[in-house]
Formats: sequence, C-alpha cells, structure tokens
Amino acid sequence: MMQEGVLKELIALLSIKHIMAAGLAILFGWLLLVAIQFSLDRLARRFPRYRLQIGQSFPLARVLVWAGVTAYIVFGIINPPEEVMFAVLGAAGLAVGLAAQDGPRNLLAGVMMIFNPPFRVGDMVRWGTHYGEVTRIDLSVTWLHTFNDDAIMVPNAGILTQAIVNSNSGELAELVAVDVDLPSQVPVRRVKELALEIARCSPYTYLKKPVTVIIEPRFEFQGLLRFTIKAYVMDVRLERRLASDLTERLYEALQENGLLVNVVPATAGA
Amino acid sequence: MDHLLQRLASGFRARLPAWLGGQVGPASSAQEAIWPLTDALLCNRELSGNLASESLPAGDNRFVARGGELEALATIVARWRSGYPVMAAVTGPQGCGITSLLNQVPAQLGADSVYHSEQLGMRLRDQSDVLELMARLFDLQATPDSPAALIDQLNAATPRVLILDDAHFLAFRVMGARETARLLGAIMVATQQRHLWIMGCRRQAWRRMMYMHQVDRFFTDVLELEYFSNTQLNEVMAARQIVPADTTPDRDLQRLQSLCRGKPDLAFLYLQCGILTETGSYRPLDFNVLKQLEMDDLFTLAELAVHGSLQLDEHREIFRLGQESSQLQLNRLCNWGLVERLDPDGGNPTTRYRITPILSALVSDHLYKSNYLY
Repeated sequence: MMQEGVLKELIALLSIKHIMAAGLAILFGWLLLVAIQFSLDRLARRFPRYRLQIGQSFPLARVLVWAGVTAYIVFGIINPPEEVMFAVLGAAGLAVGLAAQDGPRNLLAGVMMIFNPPFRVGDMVRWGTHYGEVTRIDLSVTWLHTFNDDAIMVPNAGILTQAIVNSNSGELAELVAVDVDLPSQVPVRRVKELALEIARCSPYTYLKKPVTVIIEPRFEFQGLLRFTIKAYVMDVRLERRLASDLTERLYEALQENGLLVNVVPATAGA
Repeated sequence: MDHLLQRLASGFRARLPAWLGGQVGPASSAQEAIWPLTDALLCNRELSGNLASESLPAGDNRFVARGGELEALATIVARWRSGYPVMAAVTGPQGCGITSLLNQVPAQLGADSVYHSEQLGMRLRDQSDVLELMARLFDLQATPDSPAALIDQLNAATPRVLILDDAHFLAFRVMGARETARLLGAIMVATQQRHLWIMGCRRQAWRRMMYMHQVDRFFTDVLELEYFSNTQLNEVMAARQIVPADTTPDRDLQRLQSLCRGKPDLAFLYLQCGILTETGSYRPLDFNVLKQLEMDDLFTLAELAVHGSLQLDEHREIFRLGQESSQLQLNRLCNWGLVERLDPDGGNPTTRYRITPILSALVSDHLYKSNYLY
C-alpha cells in the first residue's frame, strides 16, 4: 500500500510544468558551463603563462554548477516529500549500482580527483605506456593529448588505482633529459663542457633552473659513457622540441670538435 | 552604475564578432577605438628624430626625475673612495634612461678623478676581444697576452671609474660567448678593489646574465630603473619642452602613462600625433599583430629583447636556421613594424635588427605574458 502511495506521489510530482522547469534549469547550467569554459579559454589564451592555473579551475566549476542545478531541481522545483525522495534515491542507487559498476566508480574517482588532484589540466603525465598533456578532466574520464597528436581517454578509476607520473606538477617548466652514449675513450671533461654549453644555448631552455650533465659508465658490447643532459624546457609543449634541439646541437658540437666517433644511438625522455 | 553597464555592453558588442572568430569590418567600433600601428610608425618616422629617445649628456638640464638614482650613484662613488670594493650595475627596461643616467656620473666625480666611459656596441667573441676592450678602457699601450698579466697591470694602474654601457651585448646565447662574458666578469671582480666598475645593462639581458652567470652575486650595488610615473613623465615632457609644465590634466596624464607604460618616446609620439576618441582620451595602439605571430616569431622577438639587437648571422646561429629562413623571419617582423632594420653605417659595420624602440615596452610585456620572456 505504501509503495503504491509513493509511486502515485512521484507521478504527481513529475508534471509537465516541473519537467519543463527542470529542463530549463539544466539548459541554464549547461549554458553557464559553456560560458565559463569559453571565458577560461579566452583568459588562458590571453595569459599563456598562467594557463595551467586557469585550466584547473574548470573541473571544480563544473561540479559546483551541476551540484547547484541538481539541488535546485530537487529542492526548488520538484520539492518531493521525504519518503518519496528516499525511495527514489534508494531505487536509483540500487539500479545504477547494479547496472553500471564502472561508471559510478569512475564518477566517484573523478570527484575525488577534483578535490585531491594528482595532476591538473595542462600537466604532462605518463599513465602506463601513454604519455601526453592533460587536456580535459571530465567527471568520469580524463583526456590526454600525445605528441603524436592522439587523444587518449583514460577512465578516472584507473588513474587512482595505477601509478601515474606527473612531469611538471602544475608548472610550465619541465625537466627534459637527453641521453647520449659515447665510447669510454672520449675526453669526459670536454664533452661535459660542450653538453652544458649547448643546453644553455638552446633558445628553448629555461635558464632560471639549473642545467646539469650526469655521467655514468655502461657496457653494451663495449665500454660506454652515458652523458645525460638535464635541462628545463620553458613550456611543457616544447618538450620534444628541446630534446631534439639538444641532440642536434650536441652531435654538431661533437662533430665540429672531432669527437663524434662510434656514437651509440641516443634516447631522450622527460 | 548605468554608465559602467553601458560601457560593458558596448565593449561586448564591439568584441563579439572577433570572439566568435569572424572578420571585424573596417568601420566597426572596435577598430575605431584603436590607433593603427602602421599609422603610429609612419608618424614616428615623419617626426624629425624622437626628442624623447635621445640620451642626455652630462649636466644637461633636461635630465630630470632621477634624483634618487643620482644620489644612490653618489653614495656608491663615495663608498668606493673610502676604500670599499664596489661594483655597481644600472639596469632597467629599454628606453628608461640608463645611458642618460650613466652620462651624469662624471659630473659627480670631480676634476681629480680619472674615468673612462665606453658603450660596448659589439659582441665580445673571444679572449682577445676582452683584452682589447680592457686595453682601451685603461689606455694601455700594448694589449697584454693573458688575463693574469692584464689583471696585474690593471691593479697597478691609477684608480679610475669605469663606466661600461650597453652591457646587453654580453648576453650572447651562442657557443663560447659564456666563457668570454665570464672572463670579463673575472677581470672586473679581480680589480674591483682598485677601480670602480659601473655597468649599464638592459633588464632582460641583466636577468639572462643572472640566470647564466649569477652576476647579481658579484655586483655589490644594483640600481633598478623603471619607466616614469605620472608626475615624472610630466616633468620629463616639460623639461624637453614637449608640453609646458602642469598643463596636462591628471586624467589625461594617467591615461597617457598607462598607454605608454611611462616610456618617454612613446608618450612623446602620443602627444604629437596620438588620435583621440570621441570622449577625448588617447586611443591605445593596435597590437593585434602580436596575436597573429607564430611561435618562431615570438622566440625571435624574445631573443631580440634580450640581445638588444641581432645581426643576421647571430640570429642564424642562435636558432640554427638557414640564411634565407633567418632573413625571411626577420624581414617579416620588420614588415609588421615590430622590428627595425639598421643598415650599415659608420659605427655599425653590418645590418642589425632590433625591436622597434617605441614598441619595446609593449612587446616585452606581451612576451612576458606569453611566457617567452622570464
């Protein structure tokens, strides 16, 4: 008897007027979000130096706007009696929980990520084998943009259960490491000096942070020395450009100084 | 409140087409409210030498609004005279009056003091360039063979004040330049007990040298000049007889100061040919061209801002470009009016490129906001 009463009350609440009002509220919320995103995009384009800080405010704004819209629809438009609300919440929760376990898990992870972010929009992150710039953090998924121009969708639940590497942690500058293996007979000090100098001469190097060269011995069919040039790039988006520029400049400098003999192919990474 | 809302609404209407990615018509209110860059540059060219851009000689009565800095320099000289090792740098943005300030130093020294003032004017490529410069500064008959011999010679010379201007030529971002700059710095530090070194350097170059050589650790005093404030700007314009003193209303002065960032040559240009809006205030310069620049153009502008000026070969060396690519890039920036080409003359053996002086503050501001300068 009680369940029938709840159902009748629910049907009575879902009048055309209420549905239209709720639709308008959702439309308003959506338009507000579009306006916020548009403004933030404009702001980020105008002040590229602060684009990471600007970009990170949108996910929070989205949660707040949708929470506000939902609260307004429930308490301002429909305003259901308590028993109807609890019954609907219970039924909906059970149905959603059973039907789509991954969805709510991702959603919950998305909300957790907004209040305790492991990265921000604009950060360069490595998740598993994927490496790219975070372009968007939705409630259930995060989008990465790789240097190969691929867009990768990562479920938020996966991000919280797996280790993720954040290369710049909200800063525009990012450390770039370029490895070059040379035969162990090369004059170490001279090569190190050259490596330091070429890194400082690259227009993409962020000179406010230190440039270093690390040397370690290796063995690959012959004795080698690995020179790792560590320099910060001015902007995470120029990471590959700096790595390539450093490699080019170092090879040229080695060639000009007669040191380029049997160089083992180099690797570069952030 | 109504007025503010009306202004916001009209601003929104004017900018909406551009925001939506459409072409703004030639007669739109957004375009009427700005001063086309080409017109401003043309006007600047037609003026027979921008009165506010020339540096002032010692004792010139047009040198005003820098009383605090002159006092600071006098204190530095006094400290050096009392036996303290002193090295001073005067830094500031392009066109703020570093050279004019340095020109006033000899007047504070007195007749018995020995001084030498030199504007670098060229990049120091290797050790021999540094040794030659030192020989010139100290009037040495023969250039010493090594830095150690030079230092010994300088420490035995009569104490003197050495003013080295245009030190932005030391901030060169090519292989080998770092060692040369460090050598010059080492000589200065080794002789500072005996001689007073005062170096004038533009702000961006000074910052670059701070990051690359930590120069700020070696200089005991750094005077940082800024562009002029409202009242200082009025004083400067009056002293140069561009406007009679106290004739510009405060409101106009504030507007003028914010538009030209307190840079006197741009303020002069505004006063000579700035276009007024319907409400009678000056129109801002049209800087939309900066938004159309590509990344490589912005990097070039950033390096021009740091280096002061670049030759074609220097630009090629920094960016590892071919002759044609380098030429195309620099000349494209020239065509947009952002960069000026200085053809060879007596004091300048090769063609050089520099940011158009009247625009330097606005360009630097844009480059900083866009993270190309730091």
